[in-house]
Parts: sequence; C-alpha cells; structure tokens
Amino acid sequence: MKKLLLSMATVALLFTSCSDDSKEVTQQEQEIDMSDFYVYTDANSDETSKSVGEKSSSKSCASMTVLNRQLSENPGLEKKMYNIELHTRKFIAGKGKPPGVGNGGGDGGTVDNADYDVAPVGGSIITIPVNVIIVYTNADDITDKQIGDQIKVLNADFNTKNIGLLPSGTTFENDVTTTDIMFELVSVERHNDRTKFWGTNDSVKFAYPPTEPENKLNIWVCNISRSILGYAQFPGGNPATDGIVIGGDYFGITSGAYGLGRTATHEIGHYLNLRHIWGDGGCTQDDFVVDTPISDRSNSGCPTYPTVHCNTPDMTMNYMDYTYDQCMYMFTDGQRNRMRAIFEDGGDRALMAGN
Amino acid sequence: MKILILLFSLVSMDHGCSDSKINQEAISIEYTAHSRGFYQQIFINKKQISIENKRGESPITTTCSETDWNNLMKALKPIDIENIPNLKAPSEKRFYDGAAIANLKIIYTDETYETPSFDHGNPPTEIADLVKHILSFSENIE
Repeated sequence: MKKLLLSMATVALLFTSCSDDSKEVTQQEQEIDMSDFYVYTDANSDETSKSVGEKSSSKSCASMTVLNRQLSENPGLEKKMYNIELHTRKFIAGKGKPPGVGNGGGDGGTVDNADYDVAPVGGSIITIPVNVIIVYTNADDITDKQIGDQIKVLNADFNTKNIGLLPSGTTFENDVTTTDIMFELVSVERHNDRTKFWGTNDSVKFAYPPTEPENKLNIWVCNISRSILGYAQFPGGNPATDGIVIGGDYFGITSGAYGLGRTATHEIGHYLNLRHIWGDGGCTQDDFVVDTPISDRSNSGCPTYPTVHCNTPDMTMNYMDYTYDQCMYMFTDGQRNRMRAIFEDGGDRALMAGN
Repeated sequence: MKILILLFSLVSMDHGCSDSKINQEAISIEYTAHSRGFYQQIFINKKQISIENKRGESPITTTCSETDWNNLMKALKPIDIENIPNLKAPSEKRFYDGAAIANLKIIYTDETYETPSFDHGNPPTEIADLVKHILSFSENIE
C-alpha cells in the first residue's frame, strides 16, 4: 500500500511538474491500483545526434529529460492515457473483478501461476463503422473483394471462440471469448499515389486524412516498410492520426504466413487499448489483462504447446502475440472487458458506440 | 568484475592488442531486430560478420575486416558495458507495432550483457554510435 501511494504521488508529481494543465489525482481514485501502469511514449530520434558515451551524472535526470521532451512533443498525451487506463480499471472493477487487476504490479517480481477466470462484462453488440483508405500506385489493385474479406475476418475473429483449435492441456478454455464488437464497412477511398514506402511516422495519414475519426475506424492500406506489416494508435492519441495502417499484402485474404487478415485483428486490438500479450517487457511487466499469462517476450511462427516463459505456458494463440495468422485465434474475457471499457460512458471511444 | 576491468583496458587501446592478456577474439556483439513478419540478427566477432534474415536459417557470413573491427572497438570504448541492462529506450513505438523490437548483446567470454528492448531505428543514446556501425555492416552485405 505504501508503494501504491508512493507511485500515485510520483505520478501526480510528474504531471504537476511537467504538464500545464495539471490536475491532482483525487483521493477517491486511490482505490484503483495503478502502480504497474507504464505510459506510452513516442519520441523522435533527435537524441542520437548527441555524442555517445556522454554519461549524465544521474540516471533519473536523464530519464526526466526524455520524459519532459516527450511531454513537450505530445502535450497532455501521457495524462490522457493515464486517465483512460484509470477509467478502464474503474469500469472493470465496478463489474465485479477477479482478484487483483494488473497482476504484474507491485508484487516484487514473484510469478503468478494461478488460472484466473475473468467474467465477461455484459452489454449489447457494438458496431464500429469502418472507412477504408487505399493508397497505392494503382489503388484498384486492392479490390472490393479484398476489403469485404477483411471485414468478414474481423467480424469472425472478434466473435468466435475457436475452443476446438486449442491444443490439449491448456487452461485457456475458460478464457476464450466473443467481444460482441462488430465492424461495418461504410466507405472506401482510393488514392493513386506512387510513394514506395510510407514508413510508420503517420505520413500517409497526413497525406490522406481520416474521415470522422471520432465516429469511425479509419484503416489505411498502403506499403509501409520491409519490416512492418501494420501499425496502430492507442486510444487517447491525436484524432488526425487515429486508426490503423495495414500493408496491402496482409490486408484481407492474401497469401503466405500473414495472409489470413489477422494483422488487422491485432492492430485493432491496439486501437481498442490492448497491449502486446507479453506486456512489452520482462516477467514483471504486465499487459494489464488478468487472464493472459505473464511472459517476457513475443512468440513467432506456429509454436508448439507449451511454450513456457516466466514459468507459465504462453498464450501464443492470442491475437496480441506475434505468431502466424493461422496460429492465433483468440481474445480473452479480460481483453474483451478492456476493449469494451473504451466504449462505455466516459470512455475514449464512447461516441463511436453512441454513448 | 576483474574481467570487466580487463575488457575496458582492452577496448581502451585503439590499436593492436598483442601485449594484452585479453583475448580480443572472445568479444562478440549481437544485434537482433524483430517484429511480426520481420527478423534480423547480426552477429559480429573479430573474425566474421553473420547476418540471419530468417529465424533458424543459415546466416550470410562475411569476413570482419581489421578496419571494421577497429571501428567497432572504437564505438564500444565509451560504453559502460556493465550498465547496458539499465539503459532506457527513448521511444516506445514498438508497443503499437510502429517499430521493430531491438535488442543488443555484448558478450565477453562467458559473460553476456544485454540491453532491454528498444525501438529498431532509435536506440538509447549511449549505444547509438555502436548500433549505427553494426547496422552499416548489414546494409553493406545485403
């Protein structure tokens, strides 16, 4: 508890010292454990111009410099993401939570082996309108059928449990879920553009702005780079760049290991506030989902079960891992709740669901 | 710890190592970048540079020239090797797939020092020069 209070105080202090519109974290919010939360940051690579080996006298000073620079580049973003996380946890806690939200936090590095069974929150089907923005030399190369196939894949992936695909011996049967989130194609834009690679700096979004990002999911389809199949933006970011970007070779039903349209499923997971299933860090850094096992790394290809990291079998078949399309086929109840929280009253995408 | 001190004194010498008791051939450096659908591992020691572009496939191997190696040692020299597990990534684009996940390992005899993950293309400042050198090898070989 001391640790929790301390970290709450630290967070409050950070925002007080670094942000203009600082608001104190109110007393009542302290019942929600936020001690394990790590804030998304995004920085340009301007630091690399500094001379190498020039060690700062204090590590905390160096990281404060980084944080301050990020804050100045994205004013309010860190605070916004913190608030979104707080809202998410309050929503989940209010729906009758299993023991301990944020199972990686504050436990001093001990590994949790329990098989948590999260109850899925109720609620009606949420339908997300989708605008697809095709940007290719010949934009007709991405056909209407390919777009239709992608929407079908999304609706299937977000609403099928696929229990039969689980290998024997897992404890994941009670975790597989349907999210009751649906996708409806409402418009397609085609732009003929000769740009060879757009990269991941959002330039395609500035060249071809999204349509009503507060009400619609915008999906850009273009060549990104040699090393990236698709990328997303978490809730709370700039509306002008909100949405996901998918390489045309991985959009809809194509061919190869990433040809089943699940790159979009993974990216929409991020768009709806899911982290990578291994928590993007070591055994003590969590993905903020109780019923996904702790892990310290991504998995690739089609792993055999069990693939053990941090003393528990990884859920390599989860859409938020890095495995091949055919070998990922589930979200968990905990992930469902996290995603649906975003659409609730006060959630970052509440407008989209009419709340 | 003694090994580390010896290692530092080794890399402090910009030229030659014939007098040193340290075996420069026991130093190797490994850089890995991966995302969903991408994998590259660059492994360098005094003898050779190996690049693996797909997990488990046999790497492309080329000789590490004396100039290349000496440049690498120069870039290694200012780095507090023991501290690299504590480096902090300056950006987190990899959290939403905006960058591949990168890791750097520096190996001396049986000791391995590894950085936490960082964005491929934006390493921590402390190792930026070294990473630039490592990646330039891969560009020249590809």
